[in-house]
Amino acid sequence: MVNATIHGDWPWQAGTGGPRDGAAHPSRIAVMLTPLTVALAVAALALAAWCGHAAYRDQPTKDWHFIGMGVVTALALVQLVVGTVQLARGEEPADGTVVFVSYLVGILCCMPATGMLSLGERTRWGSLSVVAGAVVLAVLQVRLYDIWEGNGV
Amino acid sequence: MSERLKRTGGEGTGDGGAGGAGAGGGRPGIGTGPGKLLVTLYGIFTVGAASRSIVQLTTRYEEAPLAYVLSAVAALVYAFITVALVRGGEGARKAALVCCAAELLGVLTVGTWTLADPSAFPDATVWSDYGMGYLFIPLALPVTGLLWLRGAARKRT
Repeated sequence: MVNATIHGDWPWQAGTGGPRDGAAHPSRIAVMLTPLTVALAVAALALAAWCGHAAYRDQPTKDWHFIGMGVVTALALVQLVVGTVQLARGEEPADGTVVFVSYLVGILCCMPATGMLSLGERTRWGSLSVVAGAVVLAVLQVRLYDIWEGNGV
Repeated sequence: MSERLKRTGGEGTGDGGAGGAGAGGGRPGIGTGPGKLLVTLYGIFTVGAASRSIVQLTTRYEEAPLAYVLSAVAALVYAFITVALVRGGEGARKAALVCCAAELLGVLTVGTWTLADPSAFPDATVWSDYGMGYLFIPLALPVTGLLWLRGAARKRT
């Protein structure tokens, strides 16, 4: 807390200190993005394993799976907000803003889209659809990190 | 043409299914059961390939025109198959079958092309190196699609 204040790492101080170097003084928000990315990837993979288990046991997605999808979607929403705040503060993803934002939006849509599909397919194949969505979400997290850091392909 | 295509065989869509399997009414179920997973995967690849090619074509077309146009073509093929699977029906099944074959041909051609003449592709496409960058899913999808659509035809008779 104290350190952050000394270094001027608060959002409302952004405009006061002249041009800011995001790399040398990563902001609080920027520091949040990577752990959030890791958390989302782990949560998505856990959800994939869980729904994969349901598919293995020949079961459709149940209420608890949907709660899990809700949790992952909530995390994705937080990520979208955090990412947008970072952009609003003038920090730029290495691979471009448009790509970064479309990834954030795509990530947010993963679980709702496959969740809806699994509602229309009350078999193990609906559960597998959610697995596919969750795995894609995890892969997108890795790509999102690359897009932000610029070590992507 | 009113033959019902309800999958009764397949891999155990029986018990856990809560009776929703045949929800398509009289429509052939190429988009239900295992078909639903195909719809999901094709949908994901449609969105992925389409958004990728839109960004690339609009921002840096000159860099690798061939690769980007091929990505756009791939996106169109994926989109068409997704729609055909969702709509169902014998016509859609045949159209999807043709598209899956075209897709397989595309993956094999572009895959071989990228290996034989990498200089033609300064940037990657979805189908580069047989879809290696996408865990070979672009190669596996059309094969699975063809098998599934053929299987749907067999069950009909």
